[in-house]
Amino acid sequence: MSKWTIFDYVDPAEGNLFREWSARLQKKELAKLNQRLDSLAIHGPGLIPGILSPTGMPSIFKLKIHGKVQLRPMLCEGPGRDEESFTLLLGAKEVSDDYDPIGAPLIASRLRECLIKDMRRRVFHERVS
Amino acid sequence: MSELVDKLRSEFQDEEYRHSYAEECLNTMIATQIKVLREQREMTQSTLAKKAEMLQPRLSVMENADYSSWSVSTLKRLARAFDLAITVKFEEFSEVVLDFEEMSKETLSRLSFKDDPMFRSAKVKTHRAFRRRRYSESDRQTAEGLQMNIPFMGQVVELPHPVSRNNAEYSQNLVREDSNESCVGIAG
Repeated sequence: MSKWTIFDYVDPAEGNLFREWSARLQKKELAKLNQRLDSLAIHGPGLIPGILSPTGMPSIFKLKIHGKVQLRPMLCEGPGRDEESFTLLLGAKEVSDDYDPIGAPLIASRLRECLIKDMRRRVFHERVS
Repeated sequence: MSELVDKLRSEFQDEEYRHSYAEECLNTMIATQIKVLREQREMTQSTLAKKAEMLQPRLSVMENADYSSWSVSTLKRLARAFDLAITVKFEEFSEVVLDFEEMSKETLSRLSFKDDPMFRSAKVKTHRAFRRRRYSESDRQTAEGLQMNIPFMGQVVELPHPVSRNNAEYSQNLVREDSNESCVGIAG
């Protein structure tokens, strides 16, 4: 089934923060998030139009998940070479035309750079349900 | 059976979760099919928007996985622009998940009326068992096995996939004018 591998960024001190962010979501939000992640894992970026939205930060994308709470998880492709994968870098929301946390794409970009320097800073996506 | 169904079996025990997940599948599949159908017909967004009597920016928004404000009347206009019929039906969750999992350009493509083999020749009979369905691989193999048993002029009839070749060639292969009892299966 899954063609693309999804990873979570892991902070050396604080662990898998994306999983912790996901665990705080309501069931409805979590269902939408998991559906988007399943879409990416099964179909990759090529089939579903608009599944990845640009953030203005190079190599950093967001998933746009609508609802009462506007989820905007930040992710990047790879970043390993020759692998069909995505890494979830940061859980984020959009509130009043701003990100929570503020500057989420920039934070995500820095996390990606950290990951490129040390590819051990990721684990297979830990699904919360 | 399906890795995705296996993964969702416990998650779907929660009513709110399964409905939200299925709604997202619906949004994803509609947006994707509109794009696939448009590209199948080699139409630009502007061309399709004009045929559907809407503005291109609106079509662009609808051709996006995060669009969710669908109305049946808008979908009817798009169906007409594609020269396709539209069906709206209630479905079991398992079907929705399987459709979503097996979604591809091939499974979402559809022939316009002018290329629909059923209406191109009275001699074509389409077996219900071979209608375009969401087969699992094992179902597909079973279907292909059944297909082998269908006599057609003493030969095994190998049918092209609906979109593996262009529409004209596909229809041409389905409509066998030289036969009095064409047996046609549409696998895919």
